Amino acid sequence: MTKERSIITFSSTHDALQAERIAREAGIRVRIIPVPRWISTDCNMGMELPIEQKDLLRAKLKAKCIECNFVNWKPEKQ
Amino acid sequence: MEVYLDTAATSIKKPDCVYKAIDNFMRTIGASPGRSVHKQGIRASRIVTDVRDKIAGLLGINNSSHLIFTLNCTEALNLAIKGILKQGDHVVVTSLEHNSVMRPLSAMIEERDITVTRVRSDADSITDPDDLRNCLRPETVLIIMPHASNVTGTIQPIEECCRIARKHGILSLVDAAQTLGCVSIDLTRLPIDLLAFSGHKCLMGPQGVGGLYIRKGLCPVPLKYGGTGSASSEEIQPDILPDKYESGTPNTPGLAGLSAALDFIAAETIEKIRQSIFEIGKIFRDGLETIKDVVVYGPRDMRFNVGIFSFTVKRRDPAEIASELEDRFGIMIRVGLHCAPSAHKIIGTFPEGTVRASIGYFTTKEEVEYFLKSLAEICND
Ligand SMILES: Cc1ncc(COP(=O)(O)O)c(C=O)c1O
Repeated sequence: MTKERSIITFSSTHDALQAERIAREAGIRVRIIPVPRWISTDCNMGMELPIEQKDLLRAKLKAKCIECNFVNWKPEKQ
Repeated sequence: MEVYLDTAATSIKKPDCVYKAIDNFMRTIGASPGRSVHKQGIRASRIVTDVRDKIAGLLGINNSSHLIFTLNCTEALNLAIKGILKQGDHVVVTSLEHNSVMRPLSAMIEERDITVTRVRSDADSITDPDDLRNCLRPETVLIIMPHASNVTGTIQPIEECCRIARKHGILSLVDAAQTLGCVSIDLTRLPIDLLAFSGHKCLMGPQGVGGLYIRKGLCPVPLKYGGTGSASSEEIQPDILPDKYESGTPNTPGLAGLSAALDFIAAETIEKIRQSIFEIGKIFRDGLETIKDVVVYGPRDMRFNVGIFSFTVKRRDPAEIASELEDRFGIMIRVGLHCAPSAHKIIGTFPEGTVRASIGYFTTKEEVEYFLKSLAEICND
């Protein structure tokens, strides 16, 4: 069974890549992805990460004032 | 021997890593940033984000989205001026302004009925902050000044002037075309609202890159619309920085080159670059003083000069001096008004202009000595 993951959407590529750097610096493994069509977003560059790390990253991004949305995603369902 | 002394127009020698980075981008990445989310698109986007962060680091800005990339400093100045000024506004400028400031202002005089007051600088091209204060009016919304004059190289008291503006609730726009990359600019300390720069002069990047810092809370009207990957579903310009002001595919090869140049500058340090220009500049300036019939403009003290020297030779046409320097000695300098006519009115060289020689980080002592010897020969003929 595929594990549930978290997708983050941003308002710009700039924010997505800043978030990637923040995640990397915090040792959180993320992957830049094109946001799946079923999620509505202004920017089609998104990020995917294991759901267990979601809260940690959310706090880190909030501290840096990066606006974003987290959506849970179970790949097999899509 | 060929000697290039026109860095104030653009730096001709770049750090080796700049050529390599541009070549590498074009051969191994090449994709468009901010749009497609495939491997190469992501790599291209990262290049743009990285260079933005590096400039932000150089200026001491913590949110790099407030740094907008443009084609050159002229475009950045146009964005600031046309984006901020409204009907009937009053602007204070110095007498040293480049035409990339004066021409958009002239257009705004026509289109938006703005008024402009010019603060007269002194004989060394230094603007007195008290004179600037005396030009402020209740309807003044913006002061504009170059960080350094591109005619005489004179560094302006931007800190005091911008502080005066801030105290009166007036915005400040600094034209750092001649300084960013060779003079330290710390925006954590300086109360500057907008700062325009060239990527291809002392920053040592390629041509086709420049930028504008826009302080948080300011929302100039964009110059251009469309062509951003963000907010694709909307037919209006996204209200998100930096996308709002960066329309269309950028000069990513140029930004890759600028990024490498910034690594070079960070490794060398601005202090070392400034010191080198100070030392070579001192030989240059002192040497000019000793040549018969040469009249030098601007401050002799290199602490107030970024490495730009304007001079004339008594009874000789500046263009003639330039031709002789090039034809007989292979020395490339610039002659004329250098896009800043009113700066010449102050030093008394309008409309003939001056001969302008400008040095950069890669200018050597040998080149300066060769130039001085060559000029002396021409003057003694
Ligand atoms: C003081 C000043 N402002 C603006 C500019 C315009 O810069 P750019 O050539 O990058 O548009 C220049 C140089 O050309 C300059 O010296």
